Amino acid sequence: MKKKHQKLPKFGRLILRILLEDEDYYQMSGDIDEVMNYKSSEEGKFKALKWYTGHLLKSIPQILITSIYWSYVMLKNYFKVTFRTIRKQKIYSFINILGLAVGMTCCILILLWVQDEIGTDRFHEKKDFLYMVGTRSLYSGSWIASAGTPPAFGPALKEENPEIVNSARIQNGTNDMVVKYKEKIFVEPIKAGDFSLLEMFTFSLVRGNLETVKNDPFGIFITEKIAEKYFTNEDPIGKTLIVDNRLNYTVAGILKNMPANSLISFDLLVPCEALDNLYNQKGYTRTWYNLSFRTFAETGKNVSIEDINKRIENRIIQGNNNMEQVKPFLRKYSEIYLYGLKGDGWMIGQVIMFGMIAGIVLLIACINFMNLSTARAGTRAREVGMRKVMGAHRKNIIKQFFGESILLTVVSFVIALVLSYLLLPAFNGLSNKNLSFDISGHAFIILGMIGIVIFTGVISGSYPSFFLASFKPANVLKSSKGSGTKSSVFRKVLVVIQFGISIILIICTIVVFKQLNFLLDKNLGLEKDQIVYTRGRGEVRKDYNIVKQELLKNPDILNVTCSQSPITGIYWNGHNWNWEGRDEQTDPLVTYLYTDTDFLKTFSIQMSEGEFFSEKTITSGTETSPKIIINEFFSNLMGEGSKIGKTLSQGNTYYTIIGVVKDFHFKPLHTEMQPIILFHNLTRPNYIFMKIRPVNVSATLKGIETVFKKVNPDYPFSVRFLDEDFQRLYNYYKRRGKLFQAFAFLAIFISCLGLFGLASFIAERRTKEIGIRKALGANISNILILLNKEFLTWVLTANTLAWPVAYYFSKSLLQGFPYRINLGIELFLFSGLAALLIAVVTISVQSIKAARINPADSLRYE
Amino acid sequence: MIILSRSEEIILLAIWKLKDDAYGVPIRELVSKETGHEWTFGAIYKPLKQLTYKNYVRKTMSEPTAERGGRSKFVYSITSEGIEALKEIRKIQKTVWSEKTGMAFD
Repeated sequence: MKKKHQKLPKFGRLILRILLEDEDYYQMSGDIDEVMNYKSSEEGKFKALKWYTGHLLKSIPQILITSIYWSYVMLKNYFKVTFRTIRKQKIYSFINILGLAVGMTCCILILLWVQDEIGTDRFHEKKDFLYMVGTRSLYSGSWIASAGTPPAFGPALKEENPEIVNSARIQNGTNDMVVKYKEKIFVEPIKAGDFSLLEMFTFSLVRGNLETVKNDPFGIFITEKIAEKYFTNEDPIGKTLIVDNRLNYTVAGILKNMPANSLISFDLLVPCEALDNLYNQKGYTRTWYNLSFRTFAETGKNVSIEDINKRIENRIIQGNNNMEQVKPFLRKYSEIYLYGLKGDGWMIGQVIMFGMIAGIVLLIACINFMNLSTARAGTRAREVGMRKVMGAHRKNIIKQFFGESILLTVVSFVIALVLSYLLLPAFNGLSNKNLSFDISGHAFIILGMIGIVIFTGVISGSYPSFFLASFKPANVLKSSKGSGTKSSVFRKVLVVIQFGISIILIICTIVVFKQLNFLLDKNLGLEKDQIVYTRGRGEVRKDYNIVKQELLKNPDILNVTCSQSPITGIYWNGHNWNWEGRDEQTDPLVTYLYTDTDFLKTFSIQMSEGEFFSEKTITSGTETSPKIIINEFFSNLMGEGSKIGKTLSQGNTYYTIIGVVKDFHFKPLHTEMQPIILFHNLTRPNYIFMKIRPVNVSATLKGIETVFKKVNPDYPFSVRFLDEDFQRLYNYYKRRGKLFQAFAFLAIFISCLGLFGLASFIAERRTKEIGIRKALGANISNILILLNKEFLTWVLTANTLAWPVAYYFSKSLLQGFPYRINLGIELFLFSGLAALLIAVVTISVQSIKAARINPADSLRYE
Repeated sequence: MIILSRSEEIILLAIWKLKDDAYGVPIRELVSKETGHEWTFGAIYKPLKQLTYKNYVRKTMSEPTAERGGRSKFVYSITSEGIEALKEIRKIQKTVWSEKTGMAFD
């Protein structure tokens, strides 16, 4: 008779099954069926069903309340048990929670970093319509992208292309100028750019007004930092800053400080027209003859970028047909930081890599947690057995232990939050960022963190829970053993994975470290020690030779030379150089260096051919074909044979090569060697280099200061050491390297924690066995070897698995560097041994404790 | 002092009255008849669980019966603590509801 009623009630049955425990479901479904049968025989099927549905609906609230109430009661019980467990096994719990907390802290910090990186340059309101102009230059068959455009390009872009509603330019590099307000006088990096930048990009204007200064060539915008520095308690708006001791600029507005890694970042902004005044060169901003500006464009809606690109492709060549191979294109601004100008960017690769590291560290922590929990499971076996006997079902056991691990996870998470908060300042220092914990609008972070907690809790708790729930009460209550052979295999796998990952990290860390040192120590082709330099400003530029003679009077100053750009990175360059037999495809970017006759001596550079500039070779005035010097790289590019006397031309100007110098690095080592031309030219002695004797350095520096002060009394004087500058060049890599190392160290630390916990636990379980062995005559070293042997095989397996993976990762890490170290086998051996050593020490520490116990005690141990 | 909620008290009494065969269906019938409105099963099970937890009733499995298609059911019987509790409740009730209040309820 019941079969007839199976149709509709099935749905109701489903609801009940979900809401109720097995037993209650059994009871209720039975009762309801009984009533249903009675009612359908008494009042008919239809009425019975009506009653059934109504009844079910009315019952649900009560059922829910009951379930919740009883779950709450059980929960209280579980809590009590969990805390009791933690207290009983303090050390293991501590190790577990600590390991997990450290892993989570790493994850959180890295997530903050990743979020910041992803947000770089993406905070502008109009970001969907903002573009930067990149230029393609042909370079031996392929093309490279760079950001240099002629100053005249910006306005032309806007006028000639209706889709472009606004354009702005900003100069490459900065002008270090003396800035003075009242008695405060410092050297500041001033950038020249169109004020339309502030219309297009969202740099919050804290105070001030864009409208009033739109066309004023003497307005200046400053950031809060600068305002703080010069106008501590005054309102800067409307006040005058004196630049280079002769030009007055009125402060028009104050902007919020800019993020350090944004493509556009400045502290002081003057209009482009100001360059005409700053450098006494009219028409500087209207020229097509150099590539010293960056141009940005804002488009309207629904424009075709391809069309614009096609149209502007030859615009620069139109302006200056010496720039034959420089073809501009529009690139979406918000994508440049992460994906590069050409689209093959490596920043996104770094972000992904750090994201993966976060994942790995968390994974290791979770593996530890799982490992240790499972290992300890044996001791809980009896409790599980008792519970089952008292009526707990498998589901309840699972719920209990899941709850326990989630509780531990939450505790670890809270600790991790505290740790992250405390470590944030140090992390900011390491990563050169300004990360903070404000929750507003950081949905990504919050979701990420919740994800972390859930992920860790579920993953870490799953294996122990299921493992424990499957215990058979009879087996478990009889003996005190609990972990069978099945679990050991799983645990071995976990340890191997952990150690494998640690070894990979050790290897990568060492690679990073070595590469960095390699870069720092590499022979640059020039001497950078004992060389100091200062900026050539004001009168010094006009009277360079006089200043040089004065300096050389000092016996401790050995050589003096000059250049127009810092020797750490010369970005004064151009295209369109022609020579006899040039391949049509070849139009390299050639760097220019303006210097004097002592360049070679000061930097101890070797000539490979010909002679350097000297008093003899420089005859002023009658130059139809000025003399130049090229480097070996350029020479090889030009083909075989001696280059002495050969001609290089650019457009209609012809130059004669009088010497070839051996290659030296004038750009950071992550760029390849390029061709360079040295000109004898004293019109721009922006940087004056002095080679000094290594004795009495401070006295020498004072002497230098005196000379400069005599010529430029109003300018603050500062001198720098060239080798420090080189060091600083690699700061970026050093910081990244340190960051990476820090996290690798943490990952290894967590692995060790895990191994430590596991080893101590296993040692403790084998206490009886150790006792017996000791009683039979084994000594401590025998026991140590015994306990170590098992672990060490695992570690060795980990090594073999890790090496190929580490090799692959190291290779990709080094890919971005044209100058890199060799990945020799000794690197891998060393790391493997290091890991082995760590493992041995960790295990031995615990084993020694176990081995020293008096056999009598351990045999009584139960 | 033993405090039972009104529903617990009613159901406990019902179980006592039903003597041997007290399970979900007859308990619900009796209580519905006595109080005059229909109780849902959910409302029955909640006090039953609490009474079991407090040890006032004992929950046991009976023999399989025909009316439930060959399955057994859970039968509730009152324990000695349950009887004590009922006695105590009655005493408290008598005191609290004594005529001294001067209200006419009966």
